Amino acid sequence: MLTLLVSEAPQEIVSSILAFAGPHSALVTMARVNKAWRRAAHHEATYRALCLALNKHRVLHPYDQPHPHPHPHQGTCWRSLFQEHILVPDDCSTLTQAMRLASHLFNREMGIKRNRKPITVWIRPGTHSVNQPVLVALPEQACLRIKTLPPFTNAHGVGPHLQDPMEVDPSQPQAVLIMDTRLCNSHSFTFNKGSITLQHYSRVQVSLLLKQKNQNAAIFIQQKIAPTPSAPPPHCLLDNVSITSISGKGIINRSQGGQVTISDSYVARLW
Amino acid sequence: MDVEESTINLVSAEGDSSPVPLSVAKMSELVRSMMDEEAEDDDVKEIPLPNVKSQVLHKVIEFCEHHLKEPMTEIEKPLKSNSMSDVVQKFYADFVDIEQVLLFELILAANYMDIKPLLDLTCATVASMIKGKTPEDIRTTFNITNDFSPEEEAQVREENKWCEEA
Repeated sequence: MLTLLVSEAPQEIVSSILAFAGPHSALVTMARVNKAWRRAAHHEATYRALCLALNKHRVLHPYDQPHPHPHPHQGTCWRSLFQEHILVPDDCSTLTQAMRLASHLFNREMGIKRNRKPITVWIRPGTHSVNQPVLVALPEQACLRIKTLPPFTNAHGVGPHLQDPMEVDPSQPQAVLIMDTRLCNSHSFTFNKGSITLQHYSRVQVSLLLKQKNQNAAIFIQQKIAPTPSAPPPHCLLDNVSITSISGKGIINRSQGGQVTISDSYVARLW
Repeated sequence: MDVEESTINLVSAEGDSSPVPLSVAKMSELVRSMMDEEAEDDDVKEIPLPNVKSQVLHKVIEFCEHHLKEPMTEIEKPLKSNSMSDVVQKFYADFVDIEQVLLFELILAANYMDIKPLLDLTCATVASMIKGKTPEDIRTTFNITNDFSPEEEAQVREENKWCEEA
């Protein structure tokens, strides 16, 4: 049946099936089934259906009325829109998986020598458990933003659609990431290249201090030991973010040239 | 006193005529627009559907009749479960528990007749058969031949390595 679908059915049907099956993972799986499905998975109409299903077009203009005939953005395509905006947990179930995807996309762009546009990981408001340390393996020059998905309510004319990933509980407008670990050197976020922006989300790292010096930090920025001479040092911008931790090794730890800019944020150690 | 609703005949590819109430027939945007176009002609009694076989048309009518009594729950994208019974009411889950050939023809009929809930249900059913499966499982389930050369397969696997590692 799948062979018939891809050969005889209109492209919109294939796109709709992929939108129901789940965004990135379904595309990856179907692209590996055979050549016809690989073509279908990478078709612009498929990206359009997925963007519309996940309302990705609206992250660009979150407070506008939904347009009946949406277009991603002047000068861009649905594929770009789809790939440059990763929704957690709708696109990727975990932040770790979203980071892997972002790294993959950055590295692929670098491989074909294309300009690397920023990638934004949107986290749905609410509490998210971070089950393992997040290693952000960005290439140099890459720019990654991690933001809370903007709250959409009926006041903006969205309508009460249950499947709308933009619709959130207005009582909890921020994403809260919680990491609870007993391991040593389990920083919530570690990165040593590129630029990362954490914007408008609360972050709580809870590290149970079984060892006095467990070396954990909420954010750990460390430049590569042998960086490329022309490469800028890794930079982290915290904008409108709350970070608290009971870690024994501080909250934001930078070493060997890593840079941090903090703006309108709350950073505290809990005792 | 109930007034009996007028009916219209939907004619399948084989020429079989199925009388259905107007409210049922108008769930199809195709039928609705055909009736609107011929609104001046009060004697419109038949709508030909040359792309829909009789067996499929009966299923479509069954869906539409039930949908008027118990509208189907809107299906979330992406699906939250592989089981259709977790996604829609029992009638609809049972409705699409059919052979693949018929399911494929239902998809085409829903698309041709422009019945969005039926198209969503059938597309979601195919998606539920894909979701969470490996490419090998999907090839087996749908009897698909792997036409990649070993080199191409290695390339595709490399492109999508990030997903496997996660």
